[in-house]
Amino acid sequence: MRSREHDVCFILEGTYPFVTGGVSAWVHNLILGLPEINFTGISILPSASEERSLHYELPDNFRDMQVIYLHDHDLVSSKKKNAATVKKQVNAIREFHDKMKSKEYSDFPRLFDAYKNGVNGLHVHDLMYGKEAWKILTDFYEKYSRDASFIDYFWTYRVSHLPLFKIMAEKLPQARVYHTVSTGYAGFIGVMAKYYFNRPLLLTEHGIYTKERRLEISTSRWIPTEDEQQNRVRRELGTFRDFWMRVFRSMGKLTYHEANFITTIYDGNRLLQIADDADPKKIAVIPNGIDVEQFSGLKNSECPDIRGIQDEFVIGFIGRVVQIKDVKTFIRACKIASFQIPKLKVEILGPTDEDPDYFEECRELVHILDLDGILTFRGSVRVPSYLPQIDLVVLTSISEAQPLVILEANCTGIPVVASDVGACRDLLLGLTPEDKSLGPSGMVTKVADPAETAQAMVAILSDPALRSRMKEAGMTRVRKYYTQRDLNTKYLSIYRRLMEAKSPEEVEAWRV
Amino acid sequence: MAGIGFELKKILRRDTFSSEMKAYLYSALISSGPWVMSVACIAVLGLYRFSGIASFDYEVFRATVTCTFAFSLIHVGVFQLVVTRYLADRFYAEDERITLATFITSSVIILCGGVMLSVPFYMMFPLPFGYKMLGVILFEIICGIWITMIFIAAVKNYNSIVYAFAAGVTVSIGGALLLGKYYGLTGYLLGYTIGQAVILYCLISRLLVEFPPSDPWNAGVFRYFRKYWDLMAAGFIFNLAIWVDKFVFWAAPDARTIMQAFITHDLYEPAVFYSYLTIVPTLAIFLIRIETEFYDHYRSYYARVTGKAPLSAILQEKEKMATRILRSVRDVFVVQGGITLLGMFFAAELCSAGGLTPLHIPLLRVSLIGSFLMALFTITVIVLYYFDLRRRVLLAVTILLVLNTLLSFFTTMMGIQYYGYGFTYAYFFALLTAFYMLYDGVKNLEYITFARQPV
Repeated sequence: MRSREHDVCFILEGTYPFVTGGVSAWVHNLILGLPEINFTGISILPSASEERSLHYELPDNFRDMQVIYLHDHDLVSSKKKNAATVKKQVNAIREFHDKMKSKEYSDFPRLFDAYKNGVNGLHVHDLMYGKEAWKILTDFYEKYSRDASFIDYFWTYRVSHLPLFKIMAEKLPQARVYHTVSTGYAGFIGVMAKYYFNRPLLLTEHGIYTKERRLEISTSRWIPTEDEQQNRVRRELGTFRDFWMRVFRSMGKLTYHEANFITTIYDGNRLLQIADDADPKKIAVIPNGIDVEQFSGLKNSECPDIRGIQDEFVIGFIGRVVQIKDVKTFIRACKIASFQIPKLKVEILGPTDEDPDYFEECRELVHILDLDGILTFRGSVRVPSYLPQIDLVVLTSISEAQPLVILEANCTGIPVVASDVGACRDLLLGLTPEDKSLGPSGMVTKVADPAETAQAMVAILSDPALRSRMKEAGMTRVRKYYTQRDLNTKYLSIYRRLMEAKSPEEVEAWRV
Repeated sequence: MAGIGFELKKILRRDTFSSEMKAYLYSALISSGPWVMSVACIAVLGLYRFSGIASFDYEVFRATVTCTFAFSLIHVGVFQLVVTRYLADRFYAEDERITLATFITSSVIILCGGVMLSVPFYMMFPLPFGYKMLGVILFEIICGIWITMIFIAAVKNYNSIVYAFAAGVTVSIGGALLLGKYYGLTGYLLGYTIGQAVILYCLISRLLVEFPPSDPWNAGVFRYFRKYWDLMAAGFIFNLAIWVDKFVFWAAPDARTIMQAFITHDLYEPAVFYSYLTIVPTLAIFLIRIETEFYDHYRSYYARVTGKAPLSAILQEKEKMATRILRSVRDVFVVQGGITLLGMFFAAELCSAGGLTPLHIPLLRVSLIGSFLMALFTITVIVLYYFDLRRRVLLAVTILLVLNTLLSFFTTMMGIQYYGYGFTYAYFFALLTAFYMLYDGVKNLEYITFARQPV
């Protein structure tokens, strides 16, 4: 492989180009939109044992991608080292952790030095099997988790930290700017790269990583719990869930601390980042954008009621069939709506294979509610080809950032009913006074509230005048505030600025 | 949603504590049991050496049997611990069906190796062809007994082992005396060999009763030889180290050549063999102690580890276990110490009762101390195996081998009054090493238990 001069290196965790979704689409479009920038990427996947295929045709200016498998490891033993050296190096780790406990994230360079030192650097082997590492582990255990099951503590440590040690040993591609699209392990790689090559780090967060992990952890059934029957979300996470959260939280805070510039897609996220100690001066909100051309003229430009009184409606749900999208609430809402709109058709567009158990539960629910004739799971399909026949898009997610689905639907001229999460309210009702004056392009409803969702669906579909107004508002809003072109311009200027910096220290905060 | 976080369900906890280390114990004890019995058997025959066959013939016979035991133990020692480990792991995985297949496989390998060792060995002797044939057969039978013991140990049916040996030894003694009277040296060996064949027959029939029939071949055990090369080395070196002082004395200036490679050392050999007999009570006591006290704590230590106990509870159990080890060693010390002191006190009486000369008395006294240390060393090694500290055992037995060779050699140079000090000091230093390693191992046990687990 010829080594090239790369301008920007994306660091992608579980997304592009192997998994479809909002973040992946965003990355793909940004690369396509900036042909003058040479991109490369590090894509993090769990394990090589799970076959993954490319879901995107890689653009010409995205080259030499490197895949890191987080949970595959090959623990060769390390060179015998001076015990005092190892002790010193491991102590750097101890102090790093102690400082993190007192909310101090500036100690990374010292930790980095302990690793970087070639064959004399700290080795995974020392950390997994070494005596010094064992001492730290038991000390922390006594300090923070005294009475917890030790074997669980031990394995939680190993499983959560082994990827970090692996990352530290990884040879990273050289680029002028590192752009991580989440915190977590990707953020950690970004921080490593920053110090390896002395180049600036840019962080873009769509969803807040720690928040998403928290949701995932609180519902996971495999993390050891003190009481075995914990299947529902609880405020108190329990020792090992806490352990995981601390790990993710620390990675998040470290990335915030080390990133030279941070962008996110809406203001709510910015506030969450600040709450986790990100410096407000280096955060900019750059909303999602879509390629307006692609969605213009898809739908009959006239209002649907030109066909006379419409009594047959198609409702679309665009998204993966997984728990976080709360498809069940949507299905229940459809049942309620179907009492008032007899001729209802429902299309669920999105992959169903990600969580087969959940999909099965959804199918069962459809059957129980007798919606078999109305509701269809289409699986993974090309959404634009379905948009023309859809009258209303519904989104019931428990958590979202700034869903592209809303932008695409609005841009096409379709109103949206969305749960009140992330930036959905801003997208549908407007953000600034000027934006708000355009009028609503849909309705927001409470999370996990089938009745309110159904009510909103019925309200929009049964009022042709309202639909017409919403359609206009949506099309205008997207074209004014959420275009791919704006987004490209903004990122190009950020990239240029960071590329030109001589070192990360030189980067100063600025307004985009 | 960005982030894979942790799709780790598959790699999270694995139950990797194989708790069947117990098998080591039986294996070690049981293999020293019959060996001690064999020494006893030779000793008994020695008492009757003037009846039946000519004195020279008896010495050829004794040398034959001594060599057979020495080399068969060293030969099987290469395989013994690895096969034991393999069986223990398979049993832990509740896979008992491979037992007979493994038995046949390892028997074939060991017996083929036995032929290759014993045939060239007997070639050089100007003995009757029939005698040499019997020599090879005896070697194979004794090897067979050692292999079978490994597998019988897994059944834990000790009574059947005791009966088998009692019957076999009786037949051996009776057969040797009877057939020796009519057919001379060859008959003597034939009688003895028939007795050993009886032992083997009893053990194998027990094995066939206990385990389900299976394929004749199982190559799974071969992987273990690569994985547990340290066990293979330790087994070989330990057995070699036990015998090496005898070999050194065979090379001494005052050794007596009976015939070709059949050499004996009239002073050293009998004294040392007799002193070995005194460690039988120690091993018995230790078996009982381990069984009743230590093993319970050993098990509950690992039960706490896997049973999600907090570290403090695990350490508590470790302390209890350490106390038991100490207590067991102390008991052994007291009982074996008493026996050894008695033996030293009555050394003169023992010598005359055993047909030894007064010249043997000081040598016997030293050897009794050496055997005492040997018993403690064996026990320490067994406990080290319990904690799977294989490399430490390897180090300890290597030290034993080197010291036993060198010190024994020096004593042959220094003169008769130093005989016996060589192996005694060798065991002393090896015991100190093993003790220290056990102490250190127990001190760091929780670290070893956890941090040594493969990721």
